[in-house]
Amino acid sequence: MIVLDGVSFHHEYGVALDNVSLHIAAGERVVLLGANGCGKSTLLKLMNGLLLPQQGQVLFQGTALTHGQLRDRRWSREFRRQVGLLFQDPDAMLFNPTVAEEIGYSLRQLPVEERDRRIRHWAAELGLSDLLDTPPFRLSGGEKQRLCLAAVLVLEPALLLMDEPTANLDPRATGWLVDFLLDLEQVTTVVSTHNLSLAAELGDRALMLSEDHRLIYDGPLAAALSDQELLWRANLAHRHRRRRGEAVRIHTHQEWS
Amino acid sequence: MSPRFWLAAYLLAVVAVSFLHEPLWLAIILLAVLLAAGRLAPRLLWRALLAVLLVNLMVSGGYVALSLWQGNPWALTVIRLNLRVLLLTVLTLWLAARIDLVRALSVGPASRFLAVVAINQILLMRRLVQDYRHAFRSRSVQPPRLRDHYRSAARQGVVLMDKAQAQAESLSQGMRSRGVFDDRP
Repeated sequence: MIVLDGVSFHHEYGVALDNVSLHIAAGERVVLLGANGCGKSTLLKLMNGLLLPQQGQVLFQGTALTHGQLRDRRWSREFRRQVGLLFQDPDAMLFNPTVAEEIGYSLRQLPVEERDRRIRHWAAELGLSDLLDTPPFRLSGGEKQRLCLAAVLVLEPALLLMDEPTANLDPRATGWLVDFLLDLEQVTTVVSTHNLSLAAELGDRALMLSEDHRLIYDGPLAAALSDQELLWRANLAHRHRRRRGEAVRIHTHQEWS
Repeated sequence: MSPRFWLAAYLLAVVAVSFLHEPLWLAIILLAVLLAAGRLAPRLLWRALLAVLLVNLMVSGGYVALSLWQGNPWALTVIRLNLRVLLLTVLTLWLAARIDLVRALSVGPASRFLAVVAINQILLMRRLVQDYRHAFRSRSVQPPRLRDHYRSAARQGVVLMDKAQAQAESLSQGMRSRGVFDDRP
């Protein structure tokens, strides 16, 4: 479905991704792991065609994402419909006056009845039916996140990219989101997180970025989560001393939130 | 030359440009600045044009409409206004590209601290704005209408102000907790 071939991306402060190659097939549930600032968000934006690599290429269903390709309106419309990105900060995505308009923003090419049907359907799926006339900025953090998800899912994308979707959620909302994603079977998902306690619930395959912005692991998630040395190298585990009575010993954590 | 020298030169240039009223001189100075900027010039000019385009169009349009209505001449004033704003913006962008502002403003610990705080705020806002623009592009399956642009820009403005206020509040609390204001009466 999506291929990254030797992708490097530099921004003005330095390297964000260094020679990353990977292939994600339809139906996969991928978890993108890495410490803060290792390039997870950049990778997702590259997959969404919002950034273009300085080296290498990103291919979606065999077509390279280039300036020229993204300027092709018909192709670009279909690409945007098929690939949705949920941003880490819900405020980045919300700008319409009501929840209903927010969900229906991307659907104006559809007939009114179909658009209303889809808005009601996704509002119900995400527990927003009672809030359709509410301005999005009045919603709580969890409700905003659900609204963003509805706004992306209303297009019924084939590939759903999520940037730290649980970062701003309380425990109850986090639990709800994990349950919801488990039921989302028809969609290929790539979820970035540095929360290892949740990672196992979010996918089967792990991609791990190191702090020098390289892909250091691509394989089964369970194996990645049990490899202490790998997690340590990616700065996803921490060690500290623990005092038990008179004894002090080194204790390793990989639970991280 | 030190960053402080360039900052002083910039401030002098801003004052000098404010006293110039002849469009020809403003144009000559703009051309000289662009020539002096060398290979940075095209990028500086483009960014400056983008930065002033909307406001200058609105102000110039309003002035032209009012002058036509009152039967007054407008061309010279509009040319002077646009040239001056463009020149000042090019100068500012050139200074920002050329010097380390933190070092230039570091005349004492307090000013250095304030410069760092201000630049951090600017960088945070820039990252947020970029994120919001990306999100808008990502969600726009169809080309956005003028109404969508307006709504997005308005919402961005409100959110950015909220975030800037929250950031400034926590920053001032941090400064207070570290004793920055303790010597105040």
